[in-house]
Amino acid sequence: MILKLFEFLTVIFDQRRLISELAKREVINQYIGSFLGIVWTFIQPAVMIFVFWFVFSIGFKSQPLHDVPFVVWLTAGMAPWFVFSDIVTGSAGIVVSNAHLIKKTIFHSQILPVVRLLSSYVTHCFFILVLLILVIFQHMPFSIYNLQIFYYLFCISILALGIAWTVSALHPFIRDIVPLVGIVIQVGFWATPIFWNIGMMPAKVQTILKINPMFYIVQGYRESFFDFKPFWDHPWLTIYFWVVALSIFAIGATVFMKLKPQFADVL
Amino acid sequence: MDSNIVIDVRNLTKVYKLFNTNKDRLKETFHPFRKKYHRDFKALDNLSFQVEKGEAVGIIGRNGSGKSTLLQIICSVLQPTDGHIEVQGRISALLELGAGFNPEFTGRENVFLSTAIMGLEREEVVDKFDRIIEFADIGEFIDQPVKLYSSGMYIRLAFATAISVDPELLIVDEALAVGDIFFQQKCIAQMKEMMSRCTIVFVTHDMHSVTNLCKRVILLEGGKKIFEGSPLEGVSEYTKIVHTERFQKKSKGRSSTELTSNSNNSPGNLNNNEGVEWIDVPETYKGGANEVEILCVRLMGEDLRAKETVIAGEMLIVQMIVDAKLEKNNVIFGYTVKDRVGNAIFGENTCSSLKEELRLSRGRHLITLRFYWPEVHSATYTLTLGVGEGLDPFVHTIHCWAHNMLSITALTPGKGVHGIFNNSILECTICDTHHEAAEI
Repeated sequence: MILKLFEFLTVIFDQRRLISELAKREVINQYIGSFLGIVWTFIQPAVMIFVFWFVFSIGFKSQPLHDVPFVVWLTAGMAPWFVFSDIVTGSAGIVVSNAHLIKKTIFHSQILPVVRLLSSYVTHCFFILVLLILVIFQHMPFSIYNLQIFYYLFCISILALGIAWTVSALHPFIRDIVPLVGIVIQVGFWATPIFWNIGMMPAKVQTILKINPMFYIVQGYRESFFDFKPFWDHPWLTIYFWVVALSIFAIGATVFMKLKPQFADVL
Repeated sequence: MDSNIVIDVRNLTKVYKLFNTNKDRLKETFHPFRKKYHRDFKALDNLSFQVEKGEAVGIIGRNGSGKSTLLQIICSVLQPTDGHIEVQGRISALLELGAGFNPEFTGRENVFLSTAIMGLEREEVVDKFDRIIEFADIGEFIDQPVKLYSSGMYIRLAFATAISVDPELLIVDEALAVGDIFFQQKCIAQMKEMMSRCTIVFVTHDMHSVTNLCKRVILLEGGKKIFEGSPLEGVSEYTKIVHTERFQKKSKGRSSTELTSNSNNSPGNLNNNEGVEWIDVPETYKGGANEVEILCVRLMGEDLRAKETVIAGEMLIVQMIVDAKLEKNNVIFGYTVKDRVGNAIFGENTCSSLKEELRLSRGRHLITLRFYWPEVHSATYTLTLGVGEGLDPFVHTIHCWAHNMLSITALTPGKGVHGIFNNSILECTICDTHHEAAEI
């Protein structure tokens, strides 16, 4: 079992060239035929953040939190959430939409969510770019702790990949998965302290909210940019996150591995 | 495992579990007590065979006999339910041409992408790219999105890409029947060339490529291997199955054996041969004045056994039982051989061949015609038999036609037929033109 799981995972490394080729295709495919092409990847988060800034800073007059302008604080929280939801929602239907590859070619379908992961990184880079521009415009300091986002991005990848494997493997059998994932992601967006500060909740509720592994990541991104706190400052939360993330990762890989032989039968 | 054996299949069984819903399938996969929710359908049943290095093996069989399932299992796209399969070497599978193509991308990008799926390094593809383009022969369209391609261009590029991989084992599913005749010839030539370097397993309905490309065929029927051996015999067995199916559908009502035993005129020993089934001619297949009616027909080889495939120079024996309602002088019997689309390829009648007068008394008669098979293009042909009356080969009354009642598959093993039939060259001389010019 463990050995099989190991084989399942080493395929990802063996097929790295194909994965990058497919990811490239997916990124290009989104914008193929449009005049601005890849620029759209930048325009989308930029406009979204501009709208949020307009609504919250100009309209609602939201106050800066811990001396951080609201829009910057919001962007730092949204960036990890969007890459996470992009991977999960994008992967949900990925096995079915690549049925021709699975049925007609010799193809290791477990790389599909990984492909999605890589292509989501591209969008994420632009998101981070927007964030950095905001940081510069607000004359906020940089720090070595900024680099911590790579650690947190890795955290997202493990967690998201586990979930992506689970949902994408179930989807050929239960087609309700895709709308279901959409709803869960939407609820998750509001249940995670992205738009609001966890500090405004009573202590008891805070503990419950921290069960959500995405809380660790969103908080981590903000700490990397504003508070400059290393992740080992809250060891228990870190350990808790990794236990959850690795379990989900292992469950996802196992579910995918178990269902993979039957894909060709149901697609 | 012997290092010379590339594919080793032992007791392979593939059962498709038929579930009423996909939910049932999922329930069964994760059910703690392994409760069953399905009905079984055996696509492959206890199949065993081996393929050696460098062999070209054809898998033939009717639709639904399990050929494609077998190929998919060899490629490990599908998992066997039971039994054992071992495959060695780099596989390239042409299960469907252009499976990895994305319509929005240009031909060039698609070549790189689908070769990546097949596991080639980018540098390798760059080296091979010119050869792929040359083979596909699609000119400047290579930099256009493939959605703009004609279906022929699409298939040509897909085939060219697929064969560029240089696999150790090539799996081909019906991929040869693509493009126009010239491209098909190019593909076959390419396959032959590749055969010297790799092992090929392919599925096809084209009996011509089976006899010309394979060293061995495996015939599947209902998921079971019912024949393994030389292509000629295999094709003949296959045609038998197809015929049986067709005739069982056709013969209804009258019993033809009853007719033969009743026939009062039985010339020669041919009538003793009961091995070959008579085929009743249904009303819809008949035409003509009907004063002499063809009741049933059959086709045999020289050995008086059923004949499904024929090679140039072999003798065919066609028999029919006719019912003459009136006494007839100057009867003419004849046949026409037609191809798949109904073109008459060749034929003859007794009036122009034999120059002798044939008579029929009233009642039933057994008529036997013999002729040699000419060297025609390998394909499946149908025979139309006719009875007429008259003295002139062209001007006579037609009494009965039995249209397309018999079929036979012509094979040209180890030989290509150029056009509809081959015409031998009688002589070939080589002269020095300078010399000749001086003489003139």
